[in-house]
Amino acid sequence: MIRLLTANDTLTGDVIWWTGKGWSLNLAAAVALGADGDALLAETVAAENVNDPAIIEAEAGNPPRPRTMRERIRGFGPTVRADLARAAAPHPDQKLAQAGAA
Amino acid sequence: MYRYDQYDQALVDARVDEFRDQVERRLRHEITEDQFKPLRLMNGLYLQLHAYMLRVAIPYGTLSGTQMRILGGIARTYDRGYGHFTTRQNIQYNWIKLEQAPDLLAELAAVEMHAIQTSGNCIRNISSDQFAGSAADEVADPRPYAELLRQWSSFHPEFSFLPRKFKIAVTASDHDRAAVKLHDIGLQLHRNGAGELGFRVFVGGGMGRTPFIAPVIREFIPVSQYLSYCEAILRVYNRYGRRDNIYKARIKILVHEIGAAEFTRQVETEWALLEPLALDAPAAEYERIKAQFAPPAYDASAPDSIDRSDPDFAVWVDHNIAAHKVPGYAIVTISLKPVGGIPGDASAEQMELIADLAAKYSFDEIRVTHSQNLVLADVRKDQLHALWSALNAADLATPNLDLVTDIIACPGLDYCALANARSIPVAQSIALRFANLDRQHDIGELKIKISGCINACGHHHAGHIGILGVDRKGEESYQLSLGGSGAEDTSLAKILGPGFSEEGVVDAVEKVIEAYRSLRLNPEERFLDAYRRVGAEPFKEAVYG
Repeated sequence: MIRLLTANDTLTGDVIWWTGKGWSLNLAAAVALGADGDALLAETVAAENVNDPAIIEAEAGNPPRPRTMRERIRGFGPTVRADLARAAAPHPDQKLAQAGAA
Repeated sequence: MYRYDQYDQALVDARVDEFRDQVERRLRHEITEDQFKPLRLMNGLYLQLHAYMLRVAIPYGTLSGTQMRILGGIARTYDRGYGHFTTRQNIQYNWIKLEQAPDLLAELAAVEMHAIQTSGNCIRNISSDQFAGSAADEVADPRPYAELLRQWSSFHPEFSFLPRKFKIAVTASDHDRAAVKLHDIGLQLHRNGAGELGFRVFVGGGMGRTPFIAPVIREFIPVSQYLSYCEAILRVYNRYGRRDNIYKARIKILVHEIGAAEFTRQVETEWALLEPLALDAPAAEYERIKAQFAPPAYDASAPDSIDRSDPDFAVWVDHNIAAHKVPGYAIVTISLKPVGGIPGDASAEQMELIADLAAKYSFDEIRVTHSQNLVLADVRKDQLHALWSALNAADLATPNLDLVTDIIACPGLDYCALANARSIPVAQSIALRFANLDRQHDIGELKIKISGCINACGHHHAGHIGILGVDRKGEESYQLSLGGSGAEDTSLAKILGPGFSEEGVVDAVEKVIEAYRSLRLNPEERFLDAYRRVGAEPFKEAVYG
């Protein structure tokens, strides 16, 4: 398991991932945190430039696969709206291809 | 329907200006998120999994065609082309940008809408019977009383920081379509022995972590005094409701812990102090509001029959039409539950179409139901087929009201930051499993309700079949409960046994339904009645062996 730093963008509310240099909307751009991960989180919390920063666990890969369903949904989008998928890769938990709203 | 007066409009406009300033200060980092969060929540703006979510109040579920058209436009301009109608008769947008929220609220204010008090520990949107004013079985129109409650509770200085959120429902029929016994206060209009109009007052109901059915604390309070009586209830709650434990802060816990009799005694004592202060609205104000809910110009010559020669139309009439109090008219429920769709979701185009149809066929008025459907409450029977044809072309004529595919589901883990498990995919899978309409009709009335966490936004406690999603060691798991009802025969569903995976719970639901079909006395015996007659054991046997 690797550890990733994630948050929500204050301006848009979008899910964002720490790339080592800044924030990205793309989970595939997230970098695994090193030993300084907890310190980076503390800095991010203190800076208050983003909302709800947190460290999550993921399996390494391109893109990484977050361990929990909650984080996979944050990373890839709702499992029930293929048209709202966030990353280029198919949602790992999507079973029903519901292309539109009800 | 009620139109804002100068005071309503001034309040809402001022709030938009205030929030615009607060957002600008936040975006300039002049205030922190900790400082800003309570301010945005007071305006219904949550931060969910993917983005900001805005919850817009629809007072007692009633809106005009103009308002619905704006809601559709907002979905297109500020969101991703759709909105989600909720179990509290509101609408939620899931993809809002903070910088655009003030402009969105200004658009709402221009059509007399807002998102105030859709969050926080205050009195939330007043809910009511979606058939109000048109139902054949109501004793009077409950909407004027709901509207007065809205005005009384908006920015009420004493009740803006209650121990916890507070929900009030108003109905006027013996057939309860507003789940009044599952609200903090439930008000049921009825007539006493002298023929006077008043409310039966239920207090302390609710779902969530600790569900309770509300006891009656007063059998009759005259309509001229119900506001001061509600004031007394809120005062007792505000004084003694727990603030030390969020899980024990709702009024239902207070009523349960001290008992309904003692709670009633305290309310009556408080009301004895309040009543002489003349807090109730003067009769002229009641009449001013009532006048705004005057019946529309019904055509007394409208034929009181329906041409059922189109078989698909006839099926829809059998399931989605309710009796109207005026001959020649019908109440239409528009299903937002197409098989395999997302319960309660409507696209911008669908909202705009429904706005057009409301203008053409139902005096420009629409209702939202707590079952996440929409209603046109005043449709001429001889125009039903034309309406159905237009709805059918937009996938809005699914004939499944109160059937197994008419499922209530909260947004669940696909959207909600509080959820532990997904609700929508479970609802979709069940609906697809029972897609065959003949099979649905054979099963008959069956209300499935799904929540993605213990907060019970999907009303699983009140489901004939209730499903609760939980987190079990990092995996989604689903508990099955049977025997709940949110109607006049309110009951709380009981857990059947160990939980299931997502696939497993769909199989379990099917086993429960097949067990019901094999043990019902006749096709007319509803699932709920059969369950109450035989108990849980035959269903346990069917599911767990």
